[in-house]
Parts: sequence; structure tokens; C-alpha cells
Amino acid sequence: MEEELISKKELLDMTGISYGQLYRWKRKGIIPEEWFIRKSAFTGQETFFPKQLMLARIDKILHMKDGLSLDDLAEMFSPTPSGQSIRVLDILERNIVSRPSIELAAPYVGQTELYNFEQTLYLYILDQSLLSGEMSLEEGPHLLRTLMEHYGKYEGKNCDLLMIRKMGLSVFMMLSAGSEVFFDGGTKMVFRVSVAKCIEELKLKISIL
Amino acid sequence: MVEEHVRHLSIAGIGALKGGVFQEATIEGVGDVDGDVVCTNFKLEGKVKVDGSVSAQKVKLEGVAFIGGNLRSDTIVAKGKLEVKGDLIGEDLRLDAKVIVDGRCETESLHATGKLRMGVLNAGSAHIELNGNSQINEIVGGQIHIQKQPAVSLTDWLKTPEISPAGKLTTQIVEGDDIYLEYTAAAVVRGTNIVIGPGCKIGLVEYKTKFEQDKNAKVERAERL
Repeated sequence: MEEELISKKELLDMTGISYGQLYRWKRKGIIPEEWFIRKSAFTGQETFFPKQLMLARIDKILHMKDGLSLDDLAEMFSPTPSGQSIRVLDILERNIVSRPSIELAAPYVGQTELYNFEQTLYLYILDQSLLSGEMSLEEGPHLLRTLMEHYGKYEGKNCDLLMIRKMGLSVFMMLSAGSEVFFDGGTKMVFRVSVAKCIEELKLKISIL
Repeated sequence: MVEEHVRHLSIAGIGALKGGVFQEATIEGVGDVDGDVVCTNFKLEGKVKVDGSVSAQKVKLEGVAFIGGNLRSDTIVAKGKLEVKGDLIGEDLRLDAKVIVDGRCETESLHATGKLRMGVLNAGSAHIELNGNSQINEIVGGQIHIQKQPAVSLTDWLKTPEISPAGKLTTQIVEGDDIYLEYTAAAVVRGTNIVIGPGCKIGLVEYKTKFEQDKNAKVERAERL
């Protein structure tokens, strides 16, 4: 992936964090293993990080640390859904998912007063995709079905949801996070969303409830 | 199989059992456990082979333990020999043993004496006393202290480091805030405060604040970051 990378040295200089902090966060899973990118350098091996992701994450950790324990943070940033249930009323009131999306999803996800975290996550991804304006309402149920059928198979590991389109035909698929995909010419990648990132955003929104 | 009442896994003598969820898992003698074990206390006196992962709150091992998967527990105390095919993860590890970990070893605090073979060690603080040849590919964390086991007899005192084969560590990289090394061969040592003690052979030292080197240590290159 052609993201901008930052070396460990630069990162520690820039943020002022210590090796101890960096590795503690890694142990706690607040910084995912995949972000430690090893590259050979003249001194042997050097570690690099995706710059934007890493700086944003460290900023969050440093600013949220007051009041939240490392374990709370670990829970928030972990790619596994939390066990809590969320009331539909709260979802709507907090603008986590818009009403049209909930109505669209109701026949597939089920119509209840209380959604579990996974269901909320599916709704959230549906809503975000619709809001992006790149997916039509008719395509929404396909997205939901893809998530509902396959998300569980990743067993909490990071994965991405991908939408492609060719000659007006749309296809959804799920991939392990960070994996490379290539398409036949004329195929348009509509979007690729990181489920882990959605979980993180969602947990953040729910935690304010 | 979910059962309401509290179950215990117990082997006294020689036995083979299936894994599962238990309160206490106690093996006295020789035991084979087939499958994952989840329990509060895992206690071994003797020898055990687990074909699966063990996750507990407290693990106490005396003897020989082979874990086919991961070993995860808040505290782990091991004496004897411990081999883990997966990852060894805990808050507080006290290992006075020959330890082989094929995967990662992650802990807040590690106190180890003996011979270690690990892929990656990530520890908040690691205090290792070498006894025999140890190999850890990568050691990272906060405080890292590696020393030779203090000599007990007079003859040990008389030996020079070059002749004494009694304990050394081979690693690719050591990275942490406060690092003290003895009898360690490493390609790169990187950190804030670094002290390279006797018997070390280091390719490159990169330090932020402090760097000291014993006269019986070899450092090819040292750079301030």
C-alpha cells in the first residue's frame, strides 16, 4: 500500500514517547501488530509505521489516557466487537446510524429495540457507505448480507469490506486487512472500508452514551 | 460441554484427560491433556503435555511442561523445563528453567534464570540471569537487564570472560529505555540509557541519553541519536 511511512526513530522523536510506552501499547494491542512494518536497512532491520494512522493513534492514546486505563483503551481499539447491546433509540438519538438506514436494514438484521454490537456495526457500516454517496439504496441489502454472512469467520481478526463495480454490476467482498487485490480492467473499486476502523469509531461513539 | 457445577482437572500418577473449563487443574505425576485448558489455577508437579492452549490466572509448574498452543496466565512460575509452541503471555513471569517459546513472549515483568530460547520477547521489565546459551531473536520493552548468573564458586571467579562458557545470550536486536547487558552478542542495541557490560559483542549501539561500555566489551560502532 502506498501510504506514507515513518521510521521508529522519527516517530519517537516527534511524539516524545519512550520505547517502553510503545512496546507496552503493542502488548496491550492498542497498536496493532500489522502496523509494525519491517524493512531491511543498512543497519539490519528497521521498523516503520503507517504515519497518519500511527500519529492519530498515539495522539488519541495520550489525550484519552486521563480517566481511562490502558485496558479500557485496549478494549476500545481492539478489532473484536464489545459484548454490549445498544438501544435503537440511543443509536438514533446519538446520530450513530440514520433512520433511513435502520429502516432499510430492519428486514435483514431484524427489528428489535436492542441491537448487539455486531448488528450495530453492520448498520454503522451500511450508513457510512450510504452517506458517502457511492452506494445506492438497492445495494445496501447486499452489503448487509455480505457482512452478516462472512464477518464472523474472521473471528475478530482485522478485515476490510470492499465494493467493486463493473458495467453497472456491483459486488461486495471481504478480505483480510491489508491484503492486496487486483482487478480486471474496467473494474472500479468503489470503496474499501476497514472494519477495525469502523469498530473503533463506533466504540468511541457508544462510549459517550 | 457446558456444565453448571464447578469441575476440576486432576491427574495423580499417570493419566490422560481431555481439556475443558475447570476451576483447578492439578497434575501430580505424568499427564497428557488433549485439547485446550481454561482454568483458574494450573499446577504441575511432574510432567505434562498439553495438546492445546492453556489459559489460567495462576500457573505454577515444577517439572517438565510441554504446551502445544499458547500459555496465557496472569502469573506464571516455572521451575524445570517449559516448552511453548505458541505464545507465552502473562503479567508476571518467574522462570527458573530451560524455556523454549516458538512464538512471542509478552509480559509486564519477567524474571528469568536459565537457558532461554524465544522468538520475540516484549517485556515492560525483563531481568534475565544467564545460565547456559540463550537465544532470543528480538528483545524489546522498557527496562532490560541481562547479566550472567552470579558465580558461586571460587573457580568461577578466576575464569576470564573469554574462557568461561557458562552463560551467554545471542540476539539480533535489543531495544528499550534502560538497557544493561552482559555476555550478550547483538547486531543492534538501541535505547535511551545503555550500559554494555563485560563479555558483550555488539555491532551497533544507538543511544539517546547515556552510553557506557565496559573495557571487556566490544562495540563496533556507537552513535548518539
